[in-house]
Amino acid sequence: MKLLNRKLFRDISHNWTQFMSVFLMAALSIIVFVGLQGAWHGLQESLNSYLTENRLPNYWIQGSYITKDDKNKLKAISGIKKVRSGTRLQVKQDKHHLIIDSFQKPLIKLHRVKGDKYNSQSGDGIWINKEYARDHSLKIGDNVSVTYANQKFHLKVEGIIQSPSRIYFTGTQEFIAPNYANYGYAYVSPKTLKKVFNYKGPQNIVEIDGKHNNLRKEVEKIFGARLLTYYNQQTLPDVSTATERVGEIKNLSYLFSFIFLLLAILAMYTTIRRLITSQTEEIATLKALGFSSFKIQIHYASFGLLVGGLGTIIGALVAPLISWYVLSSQKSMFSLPNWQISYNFSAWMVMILVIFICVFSAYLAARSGSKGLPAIYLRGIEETKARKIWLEHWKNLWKHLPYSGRWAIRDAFINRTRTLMGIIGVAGGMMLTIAGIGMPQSMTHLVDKAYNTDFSYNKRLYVNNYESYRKAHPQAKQWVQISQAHFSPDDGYNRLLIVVNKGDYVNMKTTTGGDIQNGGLYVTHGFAKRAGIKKGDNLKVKTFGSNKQYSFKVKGIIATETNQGAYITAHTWQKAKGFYQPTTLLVGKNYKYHKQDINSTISINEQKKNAYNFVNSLMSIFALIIVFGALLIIIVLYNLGSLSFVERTRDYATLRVLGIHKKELRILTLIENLITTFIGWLIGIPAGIWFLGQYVNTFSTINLEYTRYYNWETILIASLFVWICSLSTTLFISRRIKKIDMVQALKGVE
Amino acid sequence: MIEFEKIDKEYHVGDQVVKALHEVSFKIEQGKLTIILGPSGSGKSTLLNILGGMDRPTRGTVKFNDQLVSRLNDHELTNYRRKAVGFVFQFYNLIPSLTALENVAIAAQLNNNDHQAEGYLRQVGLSERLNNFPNQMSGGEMQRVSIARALSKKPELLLCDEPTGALDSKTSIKIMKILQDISKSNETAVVMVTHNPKFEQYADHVIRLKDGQIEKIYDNKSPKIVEKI
Repeated sequence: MKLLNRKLFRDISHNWTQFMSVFLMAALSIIVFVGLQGAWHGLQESLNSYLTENRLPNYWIQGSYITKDDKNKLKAISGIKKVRSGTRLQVKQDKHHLIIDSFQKPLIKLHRVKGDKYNSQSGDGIWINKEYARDHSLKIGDNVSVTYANQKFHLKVEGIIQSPSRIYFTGTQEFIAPNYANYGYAYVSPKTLKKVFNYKGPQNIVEIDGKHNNLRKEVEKIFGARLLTYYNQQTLPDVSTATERVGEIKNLSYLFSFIFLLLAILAMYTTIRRLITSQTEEIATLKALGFSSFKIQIHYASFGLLVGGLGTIIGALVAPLISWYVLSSQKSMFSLPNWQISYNFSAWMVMILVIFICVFSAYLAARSGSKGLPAIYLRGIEETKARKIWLEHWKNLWKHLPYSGRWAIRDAFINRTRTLMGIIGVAGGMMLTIAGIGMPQSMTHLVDKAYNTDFSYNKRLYVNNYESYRKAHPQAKQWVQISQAHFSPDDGYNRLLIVVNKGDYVNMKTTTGGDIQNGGLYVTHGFAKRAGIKKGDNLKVKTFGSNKQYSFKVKGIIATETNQGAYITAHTWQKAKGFYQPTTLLVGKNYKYHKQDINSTISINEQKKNAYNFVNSLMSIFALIIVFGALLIIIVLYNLGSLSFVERTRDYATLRVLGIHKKELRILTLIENLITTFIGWLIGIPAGIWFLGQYVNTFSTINLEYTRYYNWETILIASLFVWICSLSTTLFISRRIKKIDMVQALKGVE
Repeated sequence: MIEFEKIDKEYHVGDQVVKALHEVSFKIEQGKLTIILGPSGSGKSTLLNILGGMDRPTRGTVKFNDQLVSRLNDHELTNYRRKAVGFVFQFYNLIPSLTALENVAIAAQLNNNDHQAEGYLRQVGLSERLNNFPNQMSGGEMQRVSIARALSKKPELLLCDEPTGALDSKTSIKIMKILQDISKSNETAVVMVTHNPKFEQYADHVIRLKDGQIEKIYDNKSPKIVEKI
């Protein structure tokens, strides 16, 4: 066995190019699967431990006021364990916005980054969130001036904190990504609220620990018109965006790994089988010397074990780098105290599977090559089973093909597994490239569409008082009222009802290209899809802050990605006697206003910039996809080209002897890969468009519906990329023509 | 037509220098069947490689119709093989995925002669096997395809490396006859390398090699006609 092992190492070193592709495919499969798993599982573990240790509430309620009676009623609901009420104020620090919460006994345990832990007895202290403090260079002991109700108050920074219910804090629903330069959150004690702010108002927020199967209904019953917002862990974007990201990366890893594993299996099987077939005579010699079939099979299975095992080990060693790379790209988006990479048993399973495939492929090939008497093999191997193919029935087409083309096409049909591997490899690479290019394009399109087409305002003004502003500025438009609403039927989540008045800044279209008009409700596509709502259905609406329920006919489905809910004209809403007190005024570039009339403003450019930040946070993942797409094409085509070259070396040498120039031979070697690339590329286009749709969909959330976007440029760039990868790989392989030894052609069949 | 003058060929194997050919000189004439005879290791293959423009001598000159083949560069050597030389291999070296006709045509088109491919196959008696793949043919048939392929290039020099080495004696005689006919009718110089002395009797010209040197050269005044055997 010792000498057989020596043979094993020498065989591998002599055929290293073929084994290299098996090694790389095994390594890449592990890198992709385990690398991405490290990221999503790590994020999941980090989230789980953070949310569990810091006691994330199950429900959040905001009302115009909260009474003791409300709390008692909530506590009496079955499954509810703890109910804590507090106060939420929106204050300004210079021009920036801070949301301040105050609890006597907060349900959640704030994570202390620096300074003291939250103290509900503090006199003038403030606990500010880590990222806001970082962006505004706030340190422990600093004095912070905040403005509330036109009065300025001074607080001392006592702690820098992170809250588990603010992992993905955007500050306002108008932004889709965190914007800590302008929005932060903080905690102060009730004592500070009373002493410093002189706040005498009621409590307005509740955090609940416990489980109930329809708490929304109970809460609506208890609070009635006082209910302003209701969230659970799935609907609070500050938490759900993070938990959904786990699923997004997880789906991505499965989508990715499926392609890689499929190709790895094919590559490993074809390569190992080919190598062992070329060693038939050696197998026969070993048998003639007296080695048992079992020993020979074990010897050849160890090729798979060594190469597959080495690839798996290297893949497993590199995988944490991918995990860290992906996780690092998420750090700017999510506020977590600890980031860890973590793997579960399926990583081990995939590693074992990859090694098993390599060993089993080698074993199967060796078994078929070691059956029977040695003399059969010593007589020599049978020539390839060449035959006519169905394409030859089209005589007019076939007879016009050059002989080299006929040769390549027949070879492709005869070596089906090898050809299939090439086609899947190129199609897979094309799929990944279209997805890699199309994904940022889809996201950028979403931003462009939302802030250039669907909405065309320059600024959103939040007025202090609608009635007085309207009277003073009767020409001002376009007014928009945005409220949380409970639709029936729905998908179980509260959504936005957007009441739009006359104006030119809300331009979204229906799926059939129509405008929002009087006479009914327009439901956004994402919401309609999730809730199964169709045009012509009747939908009941109850906005938070009101007890009344309205019924409307669905007049159209709106093709918009943001603000999932429903749109209605102010005329239709008022005609149905809906409460209409809008606070948002959308204005154009040259609109003049008095600052004292306005509570706050958001410019569309700020929103755009924020949305692009969100897209950029995912860029590294998209880049990763493109890199892996390229690697896939290169490795698969290199392997395919090498196999084909090895099999044809003798034929190429013969042709050289017959007088074919190297350049002519090089063209000949290109043909098979070009055919494979062409078919793979052709299949890859629709497959890539489909994959992009699936891939984009994994990023859709309750509030944002990502839709696939691509154009001819996407296909063109992806095609160029795939063809360049393919041609350069094929040309690289064809360099071997220089090394063809013509004398070999004159020797007998080995 | 072909003239070998004091040809030496040396190979370096590790630190050792192996002399494959030493001061080999001879002439080959058009329309003659030349047989190069010799045991294993006598230098037959090396000589054939130099004749066919696949290898260069270490010393000496090879002339083909006044052209110094031994001084040609790689590109010129390819042209020499393309235009002047036809090869018949011991193991046929047919392309498995091409039919008999296509195997001949792929070589014939090098000299824009592929429309005559079928004619060459008829000439070697394979008109019934045009569309058969190599794996559907016997050894003798495959060798005949190989000969047709070589002829399709209309070579002035046909080199055959042990063309009967993988065939039974009956088929070997058939192949021998074809080669003899070619040398007579096509005005082609046919050079056949073999270790089998029984073929000596059919040759017009015999070169015997031993240990890389010429042991004997002679003309066969009355070579036997294969048909008559």
